[in-house]
Amino acid sequence: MFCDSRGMPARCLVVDDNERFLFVAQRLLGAGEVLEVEGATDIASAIDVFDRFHPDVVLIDVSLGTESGFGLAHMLIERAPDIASRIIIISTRSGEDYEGLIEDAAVAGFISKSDLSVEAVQQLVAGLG
Amino acid sequence: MDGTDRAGRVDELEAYLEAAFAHSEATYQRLERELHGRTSQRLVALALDLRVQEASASAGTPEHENLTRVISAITEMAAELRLIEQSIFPSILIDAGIPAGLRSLSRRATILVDVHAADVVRFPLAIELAVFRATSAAIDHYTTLGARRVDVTVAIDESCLRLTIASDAGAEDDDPFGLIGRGQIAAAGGRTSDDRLPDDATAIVATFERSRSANPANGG
Repeated sequence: MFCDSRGMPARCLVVDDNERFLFVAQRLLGAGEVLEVEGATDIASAIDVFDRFHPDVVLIDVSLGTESGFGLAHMLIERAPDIASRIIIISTRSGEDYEGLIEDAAVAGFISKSDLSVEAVQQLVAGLG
Repeated sequence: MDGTDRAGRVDELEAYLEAAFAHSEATYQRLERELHGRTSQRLVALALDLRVQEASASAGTPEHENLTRVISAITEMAAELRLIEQSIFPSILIDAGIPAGLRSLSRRATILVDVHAADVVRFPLAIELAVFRATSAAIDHYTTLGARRVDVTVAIDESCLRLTIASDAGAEDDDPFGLIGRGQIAAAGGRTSDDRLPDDATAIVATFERSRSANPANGG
């Protein structure tokens, strides 16, 4: 079960500048009630949600319009170093292209948007709660 | 035409060349962004949307099977579209710079392409694009010649980026970058030369000075 220590759904923040994808991702990940999902479309709103929602896992698109998803990951890690191992980079592009950046950022890993699922998130971020 | 006129004409032609490459790359970048943002992302979102419906349909029913088939077709289309996007503009350069860009070329090559570019820092996009496009042209060239291996090395010193490409199929009068590749290198303020390697083989070299970076065409 992907829940926190109180048996509550784990909190998941998805950050993606494509609103259509964000809507569908929230629906997909929230469908089984094992994740409580909130979304943000840019760095400023992502930080607002992060501070208020205290997510257990954060999914960030590589490219947020003119902003960088890796840039956001670094900002979140500066605010809360423990979050690094619970940040997942997502993209429609190949994860192999971003291997170096993912290693440098020391985040949990990468999920292709086509393969997004609760199970894929669980595989990268185990033992929440 | 005296010497001053000739020098002025050369400067003018160099400016045209630089502007032409900057314009074409900006156009490619816009096309790639539009394809990616408007079509690719929507296809992926559509497939995920259908997966939510698939999860609520009973396994083994015609509805479930149809959804599975449609999801698979859409996912395949999205993957094909990604390849087209990559062939139009290397957005990986914007996100991750030269090392990741060259490694992506290596993965897509049909021959062994060994990339040495570990500690390469960011350069203006015009230079990164010239390195990427010239390397891509050279890999295509050597593949056509029947090479088994291409070695791509990018080295940086305080003021210069040096791209060296060697192959087991190279010849002394080779032009692996081609006219367009050399033009793009020149437009980014670079110059090309041949280099004699220790084993007496020849490599092609492109050198860029950081301070002479051309119109960067940096679009974010």
